[in-house]
Parts: sequence; C-alpha cells; structure tokens
Amino acid sequence: MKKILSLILVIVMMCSLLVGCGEQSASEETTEKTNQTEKAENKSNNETKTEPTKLVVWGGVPAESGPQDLVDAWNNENPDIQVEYVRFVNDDTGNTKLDTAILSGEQIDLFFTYTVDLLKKRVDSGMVESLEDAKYQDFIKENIAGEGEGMVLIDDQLYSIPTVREPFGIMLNKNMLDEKGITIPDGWTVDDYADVAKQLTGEKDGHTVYGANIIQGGGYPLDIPVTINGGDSYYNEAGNASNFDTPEFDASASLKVLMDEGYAMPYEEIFSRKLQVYAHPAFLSEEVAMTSFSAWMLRYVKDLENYPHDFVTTFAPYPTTENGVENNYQASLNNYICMNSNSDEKDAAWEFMKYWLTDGSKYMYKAGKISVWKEADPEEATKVILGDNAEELFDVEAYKAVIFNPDLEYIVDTITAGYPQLKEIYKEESEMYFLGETTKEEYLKNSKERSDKAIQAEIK
Amino acid sequence: MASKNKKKINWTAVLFIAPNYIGFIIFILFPVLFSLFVSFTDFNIFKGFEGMSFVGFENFIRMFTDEWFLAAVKNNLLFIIGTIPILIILSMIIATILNNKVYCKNFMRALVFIPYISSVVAISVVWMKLYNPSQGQINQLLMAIGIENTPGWLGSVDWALPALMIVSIWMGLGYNTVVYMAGLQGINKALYESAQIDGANSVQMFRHITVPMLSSTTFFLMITNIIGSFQTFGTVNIMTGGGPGKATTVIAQYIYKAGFRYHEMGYAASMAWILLIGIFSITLIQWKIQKRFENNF
Repeated sequence: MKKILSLILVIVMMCSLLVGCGEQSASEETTEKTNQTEKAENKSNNETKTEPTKLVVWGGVPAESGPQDLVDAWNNENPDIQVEYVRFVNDDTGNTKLDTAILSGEQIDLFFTYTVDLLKKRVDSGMVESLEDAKYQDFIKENIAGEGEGMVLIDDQLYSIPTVREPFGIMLNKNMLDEKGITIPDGWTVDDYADVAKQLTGEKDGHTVYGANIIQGGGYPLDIPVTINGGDSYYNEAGNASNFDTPEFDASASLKVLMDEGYAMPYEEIFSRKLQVYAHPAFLSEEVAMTSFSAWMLRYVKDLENYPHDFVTTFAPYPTTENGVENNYQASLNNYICMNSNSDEKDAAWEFMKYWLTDGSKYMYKAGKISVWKEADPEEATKVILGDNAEELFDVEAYKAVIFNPDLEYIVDTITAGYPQLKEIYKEESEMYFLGETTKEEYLKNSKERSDKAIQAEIK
Repeated sequence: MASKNKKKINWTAVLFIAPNYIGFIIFILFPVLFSLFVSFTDFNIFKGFEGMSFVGFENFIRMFTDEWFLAAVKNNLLFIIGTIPILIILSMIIATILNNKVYCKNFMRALVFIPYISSVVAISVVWMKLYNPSQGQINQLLMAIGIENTPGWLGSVDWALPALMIVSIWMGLGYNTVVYMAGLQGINKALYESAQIDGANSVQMFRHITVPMLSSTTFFLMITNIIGSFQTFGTVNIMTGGGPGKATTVIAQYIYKAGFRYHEMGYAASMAWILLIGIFSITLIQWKIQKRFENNF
C-alpha cells in the first residue's frame, strides 16, 4: 500500500515537472504564432488593432536624466510600439552585464556603446547589426550633421550611429582660481597646467585640496595625444604599430610629477574610491580643483541634492605640449546607438532609433547630450544642459568658449586593429606607472611593446 | 531477499532520484564535459559555434607564459598562506572561549557568525569605505594613535592583497568557529577533569587536550578553507577588480575576466580545468597525509 502511494506521489511530481516545462513551451509557441499572425495582419491591414510591439533599449544614462522623458514621449505618440528603457552603469561591470544579457538572449533591441574599443569588440562578436543598407545611409545623409562624415567604421562598415557631439576639456573651481588670482592663459601648455595645479593646491575645511586630477575617464592619463593628433592617436601613420614612443604620450606621462609632489590626487586614492571611472565626486566636494570633463558630467554639477556645493564651475581646453602646438581635437561623436543583430523587431527598432536621433534628442539635453541632428538648436541645448540656475553654477561664457570653439575638430578613429587589447594594455601599464611600480621609461616601453604585439597579431 | 532486489529495478526509487539526476546532468555534468571540450578550442561565445576553432593544447601552453595567470596563481598561494593559519588559530581560540561560560554567549555566537551569512556585496562595500586611504575609519584610527605613514590599502600594490586577506579572515571566522564548537562538544569531559586533578592550568589543557583532540576538525577545515580560498572571487571582483596592477588578480577572477570581458571562453575554460586539477591534487595529497596521521591515533 505504502509503495503504491509513494509511486503515485512520484508520478504526480514528475508530471507536474513535465507539465511545467510543457506549458512554457506551449505558451512560447502561441506567442510565436501570434507574432506571426500579427505581422501578417499588419501587412494586410494596418488598421487592425493588435498587441503593441515591445522594444527594449539599454543605455548608460540614468533614466531620470532624460531617457525616460524621451521614451514616454515616444510611447504616447506610438501606441503600437512600446519602448522600455533599461539603464546599465557604463563601467567594466556594467558593460559585461550588457554583453552577457545579449548573449543569454534577453530581449535587447537597441543598446548604447560609449567607446570605440568596446564597439569594435561587440562588432567582432557579431552582436551589432550592420547599417550599410541604403535606408540607413539615406537617413544619415538627410538628418545627421556632417552627413556621415567622421563616423566610426569598423572594417570599412558602418555599425552604429553616434547620437551626440561630445566636446571635452578641463573643468575648474572658479572660486579657487579667483581666490589665488589665476587666469588660464590662451593656448596653455602642460607647464602652465602644472603651475596652475601647484598654485591651486592647498587646504580647505581641514582637508587637502589637490590642484589637479591628472587621471581621466577609464583610468588613463590626460589624453593629450588625442587632442593634438586626433583619431588613431594610438597608432603610427601606417597603422601597424602603436605610438607610445612619441613626445605626446611622454607629455601625458610626465604629469605624474604632480602626483609625486602632492599637487595631484594620488592614484591610490583614485583607485580605492573608483574615481577613475567617475571623477566628479572629488571635484564637487572640492578635493580637487580641476579635472577633465565631458558635457555629460555637467548633469552631476547641477545635481545639488547629491553633490551640494557652492562654487562656480569654469572651463578650459586641454593643455597642449608646447607653445604653438595646435590641439583642436577636443570633441568626438559619441554615444553610439547599436541595433542588436539578433533583434526580432529590427524595423520597429529602426523607427525608434530615428526618433532618438531627431525629434527625441531634445530630451537628452538634460543629461548633457548635444544632439547630432541637423535641426538641433545648440543654443537651446546649452540652456537645458546648464540648467535653470546656470549663472550660479557655471561660468557660462567659458563654457560656450570651450564647447563652441570654432577651431574644434572631431576625433575620428579609422584604425581599429587590436584596439580593445591596446586600450586594456595601456590601462594596465598606466595603473602600474601611476602607482609608482614602473618608471616612465619602462611604462612607455612596455606599453609600446605589448601593444605592437597585439596589433601584429590582429593584422597578420 | 537481497538477490531478488538485485535483479528487479526499484522504479519508485529511480523515479525519486530522477529529477535530481536530470538536473545534475543538464546543469552540471554536461557543462563540465563541454567546458573540457571548449578548453581545447578558441571560442568566442558571442559568435556561437561558428566562431569556434580547434587549437589543441595552445590555451594550456599560453597559460604558462601569461604573466597575468602566473601572477594570479602566486596571489592565490599567498592568499592561502596569509589567511588559513590565522583563520584556524583564531577560530579555535574563539570557539574555546565561546564554549566556556562567557557573558551573552548566544549573542556572541550570533555576532561571530553574521559575517559568514552576509552578502558579499554588502560586506565589500562596507569594507571599501573602511579602507578609504584618507577618509576611512581604519586609517583615521591609525592616524589617531600616531601612525603617520598609513597604508594605502586597496589602492596600494603592497597592501591591497593583505587588505583582502583581512576581509576574508573576518568573513570565514564564523563558519570555522561553529565547526570548532561542534568539535569541542565531542571531546570527553573526563579528560579535562583528570587534567584538572593533575593540576593542569587552562592553557596547558588547551595545548595538550583541546588542540590534539580537535585535529580531525582542523584537518577538515584546512581542506575546505584551501578549496574555498582558491575560489575567492566576490570580494576581489567588487573591491579591486584584480588591481591595482596585478596585485590582487586571483585565478577565479581572471577566469571570469578572460571569459566575459575578453570573450575568450576557450582560454577561460582551460584555466578553469587547471584550477580543478590543482584543487583536486591538493586534496589528494591531504587525504594521503590524513591517512598517515589517522594511524597514529
């Protein structure tokens, strides 16, 4: 009796297990069917009411800083295509999360990539849909400033459209400058920069104020080479070796003296607080007087709730190596919107992508994103980017001078052989150097040798 | 009876264990065997099977010239040397104290055990705050007692690994203490009583009764701790990401980095297999040693 009872019990358990699986696949089948019928119906009769198509977009900007407004506006106008925005933090962990989510087949129709090395990696992995088709090209010609000029191609193909124009530079604590009576000279050099850093170093409310933070986003030294040489600054002319033995990289590396002498925030502090990814907390709490910035960072300057401060932020371009050396490459086309090559809703995704690039782009001003749309109004963008109490928080004139500098040129990367590896190597070696583990000579030599090897491996 | 059962398959039993076995085959056995296959290939998981090519032992050869992997192995060994002896000694002492009559015994036991069951992420975030070189409580305490050259902790090449070791010891203490307390329950009270009659003090009793009687527990903890130590991942990945430089790169974290950051699944799988072989052989050696000292009793 007992045996029979237990047998029945087991069979029931097994059945429930199987039913569980069966139900799922059955429901999947039906959704597939409905999708198919939906599409068929859509084709035959556009007026038939059907379930709305769902799109998922992953981006690095916090939803409340603009993307949610953009998505809400779209969803109101387009009841048949409903979009959901998911934010990932644009750091190593966040990007890995995005990669694995795509890999696992989670629905992600569009996603953002913020650096060329990651874009290259994603294209190489087949995650990104090619945009070589005429409909994409026509749209770009018609709507995007520059008409496709300056867009990053991977292996001669277009995979993504940059959504923003992103000038960058140095942001400084104006109150501290005024206190010391410092003015930033036009066309300043790294020596001027070092002087200013020294003068700005001091103490405030019992804590040290470092004159400068010489590390910029991602854990690299101030990227002086790119401002002088523009795109492909990591590569030599022929594109078959790296460029770490040039004076420009030497200039970037030489700034470490400031760290050694206590005028720049030590790397140990930066690393243990993860300031190499987002440096604004140290600037806004007045621990450093100047740091590199990109327009998107200004959304944190405006955020007085999380970063209370009562000083004015002013702006300057990057310093150059020597008097007279031009360094106009201080802007890039960035925030690459990519279509997942495995998306089931590519047509809908393209519709939404067009919206993000044109009418929707104004919602992103709040996040500090200057649109690439031909019809976008830069004045309006500036107004929204700097916020309501612009005069209290920013040196508006200096901002305009840096952002709308007529000489500004865009950085365009064309060589991408071994780029992800090269960036990784440069980051590792920079870390060791700024922590005092290697000398400047070893640092640049190691970076060059290791990168050259990586480039050779890719082009052989 | 026995011979009858041998021939007849007991379907009830089979059905009872089937769900577990199906799960085991799908989620463990197959992935393990598949990873062995993958370890001989160059496999970018994002490209699927089209991106897979057979490379023989290339991954395994590369490992022994990869300075990052070698650094990871070295760090793992340092980690074991730096944490396990301290962990064992400390937890044995704490267990002995908690086993005797102390104030708020149960509360203290719970207190010691809490880190073990807390989320690694929460622990890491809290310790990162504590370790902050200029504003962290640890360095402020050190400065308050007059130490000027305070360590840079997580941001320093020399101090990052010790900092992680401290966290690891703190986390592991609870579990080890509980196991030791169970071991202490098993010691015959008569031993202590007779030692007392002979005039032994508590230190002598600890040294000559508690420590030797706990040796099998100690052995068990040694094995599990070493295995656990090889798998250190969470704290490293959150607190330092393997840096600064190579200072805190450990094998498990490097495997993750190779697989998911560099998309080199083949290389990652081959490192995972080397790690498995390493742990397995250490365990084998330990079993051999245990057999020998078991005979001594």
